[in-house]
Amino acid sequence: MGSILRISNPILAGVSIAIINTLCLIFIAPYAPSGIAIGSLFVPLLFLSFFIQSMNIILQSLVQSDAFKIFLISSVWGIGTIIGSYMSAVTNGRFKFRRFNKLSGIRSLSGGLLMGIGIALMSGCNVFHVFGGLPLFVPTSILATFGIVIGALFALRLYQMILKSYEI
Amino acid sequence: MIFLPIFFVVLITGIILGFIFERSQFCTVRILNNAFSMKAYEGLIGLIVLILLSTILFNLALFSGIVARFNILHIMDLTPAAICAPTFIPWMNFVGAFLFGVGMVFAGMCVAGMLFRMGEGYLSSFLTFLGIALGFTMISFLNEIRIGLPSFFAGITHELCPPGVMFYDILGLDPISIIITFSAFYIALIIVIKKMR
Repeated sequence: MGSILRISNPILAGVSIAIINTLCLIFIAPYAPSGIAIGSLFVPLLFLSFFIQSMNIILQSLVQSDAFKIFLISSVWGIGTIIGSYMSAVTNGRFKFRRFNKLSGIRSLSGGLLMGIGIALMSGCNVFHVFGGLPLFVPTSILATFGIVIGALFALRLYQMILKSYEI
Repeated sequence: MIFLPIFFVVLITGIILGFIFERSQFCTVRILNNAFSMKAYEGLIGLIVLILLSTILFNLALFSGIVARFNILHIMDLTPAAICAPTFIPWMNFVGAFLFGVGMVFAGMCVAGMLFRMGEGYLSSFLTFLGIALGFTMISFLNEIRIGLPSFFAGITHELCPPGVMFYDILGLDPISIIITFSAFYIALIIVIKKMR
């Protein structure tokens, strides 16, 4: 059991993720957890439906749509991932509430905003496209993987240049 | 209650993957940063191994009929294609992917990284979570009021299961030749990266 819990080796982690993701594909679809952020938007809608009668009609049509079902599945994947990582963090002593300063807060929020726009435009996150769509040769995923790597390298380069200019 | 088997499988696989992500600190930003800034390639090799193995296992499961036989998504009146075959609009997809890549470096985490850091207690990952929700809503709203962005909910143009228009269909090639070519490319990439170390 102990050796199973030590998946810190990236290759072993890659192999484990590929096997679990294959099971996801067989029974459901490739693992795509980003819907949890979008699915969380349904919570205020549910809350509003208790107070505003007309919201019930909107909610009913929403619940019957395929997009809602997809977001629901994706949200459960996201919730499961958070629970799993919490269990792991607690058992290896890494769990601790860590605050953020103003700068890292702005970076996290603005980065998240760009990621949200990206998810809407490419219909999925990096996890879905790189771990799920690329192995299946989905055209969007091949293009998305290329775009994500280019965007990330561009931003890393920019970040390094900014850091260098501060050093000078 | 009828959806219970689906949510059970989804929750269990999510928990296992969350566990693996946290233990291995498997985050795309971390992997790319380590590889290109610090010349530490272990994570990048792990990522390529993941893609290589997934390429083999996914297509084996798909073309041997295992997916068609054991998939339980039909309980929800859905097909796997509804989830894994998004609309293919090249310019929009590329711009979205580029913005996503820039955004994840800004935030310092990809979606997997965000989720496992939420479980580790990083409060900044909750802000990224909020940012994703806001960004997605903003685009959905602009899409809804029709300012010219093509709809990504309306109709799935390329179905996956049963295979619709995939990359090998576009090229007019046999899927097996594409699987072998891509797998060979990934193996070559691993060898080149290992030599760079």
